[in-house]
Amino acid sequence: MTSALIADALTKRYGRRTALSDCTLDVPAGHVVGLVGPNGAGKSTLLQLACGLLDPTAGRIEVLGERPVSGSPRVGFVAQDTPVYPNLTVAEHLRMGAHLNTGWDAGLAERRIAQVGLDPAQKAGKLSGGQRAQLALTVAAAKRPELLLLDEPVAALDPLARRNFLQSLMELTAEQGMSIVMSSHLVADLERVCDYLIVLVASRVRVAGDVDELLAGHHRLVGARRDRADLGAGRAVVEQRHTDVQSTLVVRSTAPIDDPYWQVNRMDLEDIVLAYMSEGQR
Amino acid sequence: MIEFHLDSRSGVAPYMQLIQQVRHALRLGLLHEGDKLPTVKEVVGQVAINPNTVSKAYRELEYEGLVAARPGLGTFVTRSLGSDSLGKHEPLRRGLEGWLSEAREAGLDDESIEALFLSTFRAFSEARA
Amino acid sequence: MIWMTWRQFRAPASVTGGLLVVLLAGLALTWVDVSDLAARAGYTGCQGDACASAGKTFLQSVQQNLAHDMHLAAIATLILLPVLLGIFWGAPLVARELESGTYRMVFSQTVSRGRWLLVKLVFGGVAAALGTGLLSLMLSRWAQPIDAASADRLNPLVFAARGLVPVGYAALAFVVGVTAGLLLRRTVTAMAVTLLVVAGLQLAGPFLVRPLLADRVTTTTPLNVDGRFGISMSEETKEMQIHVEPDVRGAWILSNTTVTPTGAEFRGPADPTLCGPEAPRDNETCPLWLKKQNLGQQLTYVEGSQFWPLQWREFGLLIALTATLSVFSLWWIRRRLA
Repeated sequence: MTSALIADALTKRYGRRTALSDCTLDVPAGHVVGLVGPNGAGKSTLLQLACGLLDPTAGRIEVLGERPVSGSPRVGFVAQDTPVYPNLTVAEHLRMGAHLNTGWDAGLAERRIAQVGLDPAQKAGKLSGGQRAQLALTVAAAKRPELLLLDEPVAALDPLARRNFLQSLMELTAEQGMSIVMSSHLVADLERVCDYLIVLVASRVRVAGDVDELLAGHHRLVGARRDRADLGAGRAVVEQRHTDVQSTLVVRSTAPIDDPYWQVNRMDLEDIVLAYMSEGQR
Repeated sequence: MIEFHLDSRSGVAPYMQLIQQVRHALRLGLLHEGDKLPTVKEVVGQVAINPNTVSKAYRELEYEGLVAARPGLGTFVTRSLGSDSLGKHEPLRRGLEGWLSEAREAGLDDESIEALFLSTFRAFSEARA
Repeated sequence: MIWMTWRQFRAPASVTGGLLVVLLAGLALTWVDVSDLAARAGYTGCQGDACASAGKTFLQSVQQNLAHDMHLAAIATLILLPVLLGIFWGAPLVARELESGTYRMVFSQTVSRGRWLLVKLVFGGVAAALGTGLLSLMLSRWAQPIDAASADRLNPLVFAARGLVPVGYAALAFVVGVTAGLLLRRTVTAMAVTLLVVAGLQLAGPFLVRPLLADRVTTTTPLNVDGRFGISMSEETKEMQIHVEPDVRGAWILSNTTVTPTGAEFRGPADPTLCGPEAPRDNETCPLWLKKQNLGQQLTYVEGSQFWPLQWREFGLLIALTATLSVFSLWWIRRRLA
């Protein structure tokens, strides 16, 4: 299977500020990929590098086998806060898409607009946040990209608008089979929708992998206090907390942990992400 | 056409929940042999989940012999689990009602009864798995 | 891309177009008035010396007519048009997209950044040139009798409102606005900077650059004090300066100095008994005394016939600057953006 995105020691600096350092990724195509991390971690930067709006300072990035260039017909992008042209109507946005894209699917665009209940004659500046997000999604998806990048598309939406957006997004994936990379700092949404996860904290990739594998490979270990826990080969401690009597470890391992010293608990995706986020910010 | 829902806090994997809901619908007689299940697109449009999850659930159901995928047409129910299957188990129902009265007489309130039942049931299932 | 450019350009283009239509209508309506006035003053078809006085009569009659206001309005518009185009067409073009974030939407469509900017530059630049050119052409034709009578076409205020030069400034101002928006990324800041730069260019043009572009002529002729002349004199030092209006018709005077036989500027000192407020019969004795000083008038000027060569040269320079800035913008938007 080809890769949707390959990064190799990818670094982006703005003057003295480092947005991304030394990121290495190999994201498979055909998945819904979640990109999660705290604000300022570098998620927007990574997405903009992937769609050619930014150039790397060091390292290499490849999207669908090519160097990213803005204006590619194969990659679509929905930016943060879903900007739209306030004075153009919904229909005019679609017209823009038709004129500016070679592979524009006008039928899909019109169906989606009707399904979401947007009035084609309405000026985009008067739409609600959820409606704007749906419009931006339609414009990005109707050019039939192989890869769709979304930068926190649901962050500013109310729960119903958020749910509607994700439903639309999943329908599009089911219909067109495109790869999706979606950034968010709301893990609960990602859990139901993503099957591949990247955790980005303080400009670095902390963990990346298939969601089922991550769930199977991470456990929380609780036991009596032990300062230097040696769990053996193939087991990495992601996070550890100690009270005066108790130690709690978050461990990533390929092999099952059957040391009776520890109580082994499964973790859900949100717990795993939080473990990496708190460890990464220290 | 049945509708799915997802309980994100149940601890049960999403694809498993879908399978359980199909089985439940079959048991209750909401789905009959020959009925069409919603398409993957319809399911994810309703419940915002990954399409692969739905595909996985439908494949599992097909493996169990409950449904069959017909290319280009959709996924159809091939076997019912008996609409009156619950009715067949009248003795079990009466036994359960007896147990419930005993629990009430022992002074357990509704929550305690539910907790006792669920923990015993889970331990029982895990021991069997 | 063409539809998109037009759709975004619709509003500012319509407003500017409307303004132009009003002016052109005004010129059309007063056209007949101007030719009537010229005919009545006997200026049309006159020959030789009779033309001088007919011309003066004609010009005076125009002053009282509505046509005069029309003339001023049209000149003012042509001079202000570049600044307005730079601020309202050019500056928001890229800056608004960068500021509002819509560039993220449009640059993820299947159009390269270079092509996006190129189409917008060409569209706006050509529209600016055509609009300004049309107004300039109409005004030049409309004012033809007035210009012939006053022979003042090289005057900076008139020169900038005739021929090709306004077109050059309009195109350049537009591209200055686009470049400012691209570099500064904020619409209001870009508008302010564009205003300063274009105003600066329009002031620097006539006073710094145009004299260098023209073929200047420097002559020294004996000072003619028979006619009227101006004297300025300092009470204490008795220093004086003489100013005589030159008699070169249609020329643009760059410098006018009264010089001594050695070539240096004449500064007196004046003989207070013959020249000055204390001298009796100052009107008779002063000119006689001045004649004895053998003064000359040194003029540096550009001949009236230089009008079209100078127009072409300045236009060429402006277009070269426009092209350079355009190429720079296209390079910048491709290489850097964020």
